[in-house]
Amino acid sequence: MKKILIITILFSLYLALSAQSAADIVDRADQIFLQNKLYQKSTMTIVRRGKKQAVQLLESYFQKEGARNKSLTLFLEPRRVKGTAYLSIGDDLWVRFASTGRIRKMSSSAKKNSAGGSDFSYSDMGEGNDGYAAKYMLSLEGEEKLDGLNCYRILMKPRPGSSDIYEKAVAFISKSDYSYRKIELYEDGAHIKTMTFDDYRPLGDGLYPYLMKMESHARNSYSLIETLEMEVDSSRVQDRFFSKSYLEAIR
Amino acid sequence: MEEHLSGEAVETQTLEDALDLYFFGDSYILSNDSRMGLLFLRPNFTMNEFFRLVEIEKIEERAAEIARVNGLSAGLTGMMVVGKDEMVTSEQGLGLSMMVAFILIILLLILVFRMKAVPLIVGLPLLLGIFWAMGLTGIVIHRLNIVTAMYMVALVGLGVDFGIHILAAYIQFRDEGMDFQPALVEAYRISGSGIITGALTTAAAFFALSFSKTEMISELGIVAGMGIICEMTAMLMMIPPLLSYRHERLIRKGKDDMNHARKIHISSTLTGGLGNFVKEQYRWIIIILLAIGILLITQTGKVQIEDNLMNMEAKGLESIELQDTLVEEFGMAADSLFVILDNPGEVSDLVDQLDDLDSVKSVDGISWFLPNRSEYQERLPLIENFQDQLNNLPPSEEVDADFLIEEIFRLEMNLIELGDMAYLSQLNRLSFELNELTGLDKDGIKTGESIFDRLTDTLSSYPAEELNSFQNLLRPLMLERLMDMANTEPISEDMLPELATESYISRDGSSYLISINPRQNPWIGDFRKILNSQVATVTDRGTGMILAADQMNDMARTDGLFSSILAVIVVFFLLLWDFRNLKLVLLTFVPLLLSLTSLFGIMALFDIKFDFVNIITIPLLIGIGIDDAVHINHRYLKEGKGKIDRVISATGTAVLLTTITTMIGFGSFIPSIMRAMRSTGIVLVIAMFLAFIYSVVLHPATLIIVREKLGWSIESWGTGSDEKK
Repeated sequence: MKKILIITILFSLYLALSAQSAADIVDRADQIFLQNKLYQKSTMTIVRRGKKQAVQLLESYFQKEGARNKSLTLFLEPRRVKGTAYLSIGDDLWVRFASTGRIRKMSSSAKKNSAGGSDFSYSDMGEGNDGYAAKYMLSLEGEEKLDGLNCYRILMKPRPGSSDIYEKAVAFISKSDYSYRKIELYEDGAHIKTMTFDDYRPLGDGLYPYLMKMESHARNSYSLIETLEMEVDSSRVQDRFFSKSYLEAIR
Repeated sequence: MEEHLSGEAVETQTLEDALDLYFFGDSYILSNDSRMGLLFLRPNFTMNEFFRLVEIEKIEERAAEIARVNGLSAGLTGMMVVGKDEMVTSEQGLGLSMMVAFILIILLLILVFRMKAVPLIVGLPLLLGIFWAMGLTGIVIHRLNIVTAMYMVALVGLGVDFGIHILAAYIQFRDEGMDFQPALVEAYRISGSGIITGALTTAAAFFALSFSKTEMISELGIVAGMGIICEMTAMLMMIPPLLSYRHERLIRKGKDDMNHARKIHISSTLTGGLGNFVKEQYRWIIIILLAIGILLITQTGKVQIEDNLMNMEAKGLESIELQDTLVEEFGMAADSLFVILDNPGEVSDLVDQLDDLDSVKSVDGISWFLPNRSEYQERLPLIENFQDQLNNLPPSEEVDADFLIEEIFRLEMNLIELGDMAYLSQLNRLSFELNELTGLDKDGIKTGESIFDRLTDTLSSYPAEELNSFQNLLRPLMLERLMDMANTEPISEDMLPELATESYISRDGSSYLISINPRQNPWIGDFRKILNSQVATVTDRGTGMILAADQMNDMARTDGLFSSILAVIVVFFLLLWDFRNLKLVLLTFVPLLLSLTSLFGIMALFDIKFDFVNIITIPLLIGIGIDDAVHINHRYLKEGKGKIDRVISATGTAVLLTTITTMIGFGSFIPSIMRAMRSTGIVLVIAMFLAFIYSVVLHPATLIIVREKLGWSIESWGTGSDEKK
């Protein structure tokens, strides 16, 4: 009986330690995305069924205020949507149409939708700002080599009650620098998307992926976000950007 | 409106048509740029009615004719069309292949045996064996499928092997000076047991396939097993009387058959030289061939299985190319998944759940027309409210043109914004339509007059009385339609149009069909797996070719493995019964195992994938591949130690010939335009070549080592010491 008790305790301890370990790993990997006052200029390229669509040039401003994330994304190209802007405050989302100058509030479910027609959902793009460790239950599944790099393989499952669109995700985090390398996303029993992180460059105290690719296996398409410029604690990010009145003032 | 305002008399029907277009939209499905249209045809026969598939050609011709008259072009696609194309192309390929194989084999035999009567002596039993096999197939199975039809061609190459062994042995003994009858008896004595064992092992390997769950593979097992037995029986029974007939004719003509036979030196230089080479260099042969074998074994894990059914069809088929066009232009695949339900109340929920799946483009079901009870209850108050408003509409008022212009402007702005969203969301078809409506180009620049500009102009150019007159004309027609649409009576099946009931309800009214349209071409990449697993999370009642294809592949995989294991076990016991020596039986399996693993290795190296057609190579190789080593064993046991050169020289020639004829038989699939047939031809030719090299070169070298150098006994149990031989 004693033996069983000891084994049970040791086993529970092992599970607790392994869970702790997975959380530690993801926590460290999340750090680079948990920055505040971010300014980013990037391009978004969508390749659908092998055909490249018009490249979108975007400028984004991000700021954290307590538990709320605020972001403003402005389209600079292509011509059709130049001046169109998205404002996100917490769960609310507004869009300003350059063609009509009008502002519309989007349904909160729109966050699950594709961002700018890409394979990234608004939720995918915002995920990093909160960090995965806070949103998912994590378990270390083992280690795996990815493009010659030793990686932790971590299973992520949404916490009970969470409204996450994915039923699970499998993240590959480099053992050497704790950077995300790949996240496989599962929905309705199938591996539907793969997000890969590349071109890591120094940013603040860590490394930031200047190239992110989301491949949709169900839609035969992929989208690339290539960061052209990135600033942390940027003076370009101003409080006034995150209001409807600023959105109305954009010309 | 413009016609009426400009003073033209507008017929009521024209107004009604315009209103219907406004309410219900265009009834055609058009491509992104509106240059292509899509029509769905529902034949009155199914995919299973194999022989009616040719009727699709008539539909193709008619569609092309109608299109031509209208200055268009038309093409058909879908699983049934692909099925028809597959049948036509494989039939074309098979007829030609069979003829080419037959002619080549007969030519080869005439050339090698230098006997003009070969087409009669070997060809007649060969044809007889094929007729027996086809007749028995008719009795037992009643039909041929694509694989068994292919096998009938291969049987030409397999059946002739028995004749070659008999003829080669007969000519050898005539060559050594024996008279006709003793030569024939000796030929049967020395090669008969090898032929029977060989035929039985091959047939056993085939019959093992009959335990497969896949009907197609199981039928192949029965047809092929019967075919081998028929061919062996025909050859063993028919060759002596035919040779005797030839012998009598030669005597009647005053020719000396023995002298004629002496001219033929069947122990060719090639196999004679090979025999000497093996005898002298057996160590190097073992080292080199084993090294190659091991090298190829390392690649075996990389061999892949083809899971795209369309990659097995002929290249350039319009029906297959149009499948990509469908995805490209209409964002939907040609093949659907289906769900059949008994309870109409479940349809609506299931349609909604399936429609939410990322891999699903759209879902069609009777719920589009027939709301369930709860949906009806939910909508009823809204409809009643709408109905009330219609009933309480004030009498026609004067048209307020300024108010209308303002509303039209708002609507235009909304549509422009929708166009922006559609553009951003890559909804090309919607973006194109909205641009057309709002007069914008793809960059959002106003390039032409929009429908809204014309409406605004019209409203501001005509006096109020004329606008009122048009409103009075339109109002009752519009009201009538709105009142019809606001009907609160529950919708029942018998109220639905025939088009809806025919598409979604079974003829006896007992089951309901849901059609799931995939987002991508299900035959490309991993998409099918995603679709199938997502659909499986919602329902386990899915059916259709998309699911069946994977099940077929899985079954072919399982069946291939199961049949191979069974074939190996049966062949093992047959060999044990024949040789009655465990060591020799195990040694006989070495060339077979090396042939199999080397085949996998070569396939992996050259990126040749297994599919559910060419997977038959495995049991075929087990059955046929082992024959070569069996013939070598029999001859070596009869010739004795130190005579491996003579064994290879005599038996090797026959084995070489049988290998070449079998390779011709299977190789005749290679020119086929059907990729599955071509790949089967290539794989089988490689397999036969490997079996020859390992059986006729490596196996004899191994026999020298184990029997003559290591002193192993390979004699049958109870026949005394091997040392005496």
